[in-house]
Amino acid sequence: MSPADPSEFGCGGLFLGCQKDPKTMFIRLTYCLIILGLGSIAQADLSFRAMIEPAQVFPGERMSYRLDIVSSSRQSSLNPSDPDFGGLTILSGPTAATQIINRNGRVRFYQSFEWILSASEPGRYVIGPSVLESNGGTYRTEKTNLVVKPQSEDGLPRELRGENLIFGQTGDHAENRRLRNRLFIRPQVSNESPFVGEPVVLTYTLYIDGITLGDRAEFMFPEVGGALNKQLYQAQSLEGDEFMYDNGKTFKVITLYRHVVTPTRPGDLRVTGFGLRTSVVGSQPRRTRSMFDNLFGRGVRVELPTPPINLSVKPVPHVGMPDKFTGTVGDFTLSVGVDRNDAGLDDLVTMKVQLSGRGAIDLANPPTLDLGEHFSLAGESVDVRRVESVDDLRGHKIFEYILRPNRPGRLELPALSYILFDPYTAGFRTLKSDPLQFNIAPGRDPLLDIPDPSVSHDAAIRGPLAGQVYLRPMLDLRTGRSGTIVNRPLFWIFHLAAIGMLVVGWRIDNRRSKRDPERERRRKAWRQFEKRVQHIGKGVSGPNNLSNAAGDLESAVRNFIADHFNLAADGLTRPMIEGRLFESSMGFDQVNRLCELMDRCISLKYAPQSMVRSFDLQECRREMTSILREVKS
Amino acid sequence: MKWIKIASLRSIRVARCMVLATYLVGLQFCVPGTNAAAPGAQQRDLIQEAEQAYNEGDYDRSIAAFEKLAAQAPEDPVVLFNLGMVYMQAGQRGRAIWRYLQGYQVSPRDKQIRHRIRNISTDLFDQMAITPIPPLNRLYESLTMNEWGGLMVVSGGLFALLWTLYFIIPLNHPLRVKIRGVIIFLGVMTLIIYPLGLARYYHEEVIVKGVVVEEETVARTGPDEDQIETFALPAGTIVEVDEVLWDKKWLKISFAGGRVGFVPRSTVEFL
Repeated sequence: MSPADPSEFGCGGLFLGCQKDPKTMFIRLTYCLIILGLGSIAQADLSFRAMIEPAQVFPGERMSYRLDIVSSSRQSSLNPSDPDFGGLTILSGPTAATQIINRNGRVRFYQSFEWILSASEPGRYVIGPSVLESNGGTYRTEKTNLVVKPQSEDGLPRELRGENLIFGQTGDHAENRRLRNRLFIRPQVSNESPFVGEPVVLTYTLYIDGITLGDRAEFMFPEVGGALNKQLYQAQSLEGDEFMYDNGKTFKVITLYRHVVTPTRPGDLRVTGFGLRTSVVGSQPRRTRSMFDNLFGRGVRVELPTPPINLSVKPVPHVGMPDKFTGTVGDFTLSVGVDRNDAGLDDLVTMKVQLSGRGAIDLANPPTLDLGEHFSLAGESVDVRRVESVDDLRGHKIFEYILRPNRPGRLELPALSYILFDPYTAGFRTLKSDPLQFNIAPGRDPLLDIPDPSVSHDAAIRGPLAGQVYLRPMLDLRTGRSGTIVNRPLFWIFHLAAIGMLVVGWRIDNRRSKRDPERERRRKAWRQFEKRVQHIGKGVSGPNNLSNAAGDLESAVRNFIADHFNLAADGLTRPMIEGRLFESSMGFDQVNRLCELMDRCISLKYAPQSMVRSFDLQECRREMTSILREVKS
Repeated sequence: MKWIKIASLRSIRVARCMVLATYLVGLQFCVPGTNAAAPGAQQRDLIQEAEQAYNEGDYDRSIAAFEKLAAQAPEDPVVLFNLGMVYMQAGQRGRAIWRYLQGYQVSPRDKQIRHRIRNISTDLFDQMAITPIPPLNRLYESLTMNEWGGLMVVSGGLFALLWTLYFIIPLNHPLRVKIRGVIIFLGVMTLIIYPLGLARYYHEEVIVKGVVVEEETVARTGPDEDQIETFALPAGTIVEVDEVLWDKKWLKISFAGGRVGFVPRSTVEFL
């Protein structure tokens, strides 16, 4: 081996030719240290690079574009510029991530910015450079070339070839290729360039070929601004019928979501995409499953996000537009009806104008009414009844008008015409109704009846509108203001006086009670008697109960007499009762009758059952009460 | 004595009839009213001018003449009715409703005014209703504020009078039993009349009400044209006036459902 040229050995070569000269060796060692120091300074600088994964994709497939920044010192504000993604669609991003790695005592700071991209069409795409400025230096990534290969349509039925299909996307590209042409969503638009007011039906159908999906599924619903959006159908599960196609393959076909968008203004209209998120059962997950994977069951999480749909909304054509165009767009029919043809002048007639058919019935405008001179409008209302349909928008809009006849006689309501624009034939149509005939009888209040000017004329009815309205004669005139009675002091003085009178009456009663305790006692006795007697005999059935009730009645009377005359009820004999009742200026017959009734009541306790049954307790109670009322008063 | 004479009444029914008669007589004396008389020469000229202008279709002149007449006879239902009619013909629906409602306040049993109001707006009576019970509403609507006040005076007065009399009469006197029925009858009447009368007073005197007379009136969030528009008020809407602001140029109003806003003073006429 020949001695090597020291210059070929880099830094090591510095020492080979100077082993005997310490001075030269010192100088060279100093150089070496300087070079090493510069090297470490150079390593403190950052590296900036772009990466795309995978390098080869198909239309609709997701790819990740990442900008990585690695530096040896922490730099807080590193903001690379967004690259020009050309015709690629940004699905999400940029997502920023920071990482610090300490390897053998050397610290590295990693920063990454990631975009998720997708290409809608096959072709060649170029992602422009990204620029980063740091510590006075400018760093730039290289342009990235990407080739999107055309979709392989092997295994697809003929009718689905060339369609914009959205295939299932997982985090694993190998899994994505396995799902290709076996799990996809087919978005369908009924009309991509509708007229203003024309409903557009958007349907998202899922096709599955031999893939088992998890139980759970999550939908991301489309949104739209500047248009009415109404859901027609939404799948409740991922179950559907199987269809065999021309290529011999069987697909399970599930209509996931259908909605109808009705544009309200011309121009470009963007409807955001629909999405399905679920899991594929039977596939092995690429990485350790995270806690979020459990949300979508076992298997690999799969997403099918459809791209936004752009509609080009055309205005209603001005050429050929009739002057009386109502502004309604749709395929509707018109029907007009009234609740009665024979009515009085005091009656109100209800006319219903109904629009029915296909189209955005909510946006249908009311007709222009021509009521003629015979009717005037007293009120109106609108009611919309939608027909439940999963295919398109259908319904009825009912305009209800309350009409008041202006005069009696045989009247006619002119025919109604309604001009609309039919987007399905792209032409204007005029809907017409027949004129309506009415027989209006004179009103019930003669003062309010306006006679038919062609038949007769009432001198009392004046006015320029041929008897439609009139002024009332002013024979007397009420001048001045009456004022309000409640605001007058006399009103309140009077009420104070009335309250005073009530208080006086109450005070008189109180004082009288205090002066006469006997009266108070007698009043209490009567109250107690009424309370006892109130419930006696109610709902009594059977002889035993009847005899007991009769005993209670006799006891109540005895107690009342005792309380009224301030005696003890237990020792009260018949002569004592008679004597007291006579003293209270009661008639002889009444006293005898009361005692007789009391005896009858008490004797029922020992009487045979046949006798008890014939006893009329209520009558006895009434009679005793009326006799005792006199005692009380 | 007077109460001995009353004792000779044979039944309570006669007493009740007397109470009702007293009500009617009392109403005549208690209720303040206006003087109805044949119009004077100047008023006759105004009537003639208003009618002539109306017949010629010159509604502005007719309105001016009727307004002069209404200033002299502000509580004449016929003048208010005719004024409403002319406003209606002139296309001023809000002012027509305002005048009809004024006529309805002074003469609630006037069939023609009621008929006109019902024809112009079917829900005006609903706006004025105090309860969802139709018979009670009809009773409430059928009398004016002053008539309700008169009834309150008569029924309250009679009730207090008989109540006092009841306690003054000796205990054993048979008149007490008879008078008791009348007092109960009067008590029930008072219990019905007072709430309705006070409700009428509250709605007519305590709450200041107005009618939106201008078409396309818009309530704003503050008393200024620069404030945000909150809701539209169709002509003829009855509103409650909560406050008069800014040198009487703006009104703070509240509307059905508790909505509050500010409108220019010129768009609302007080009832």
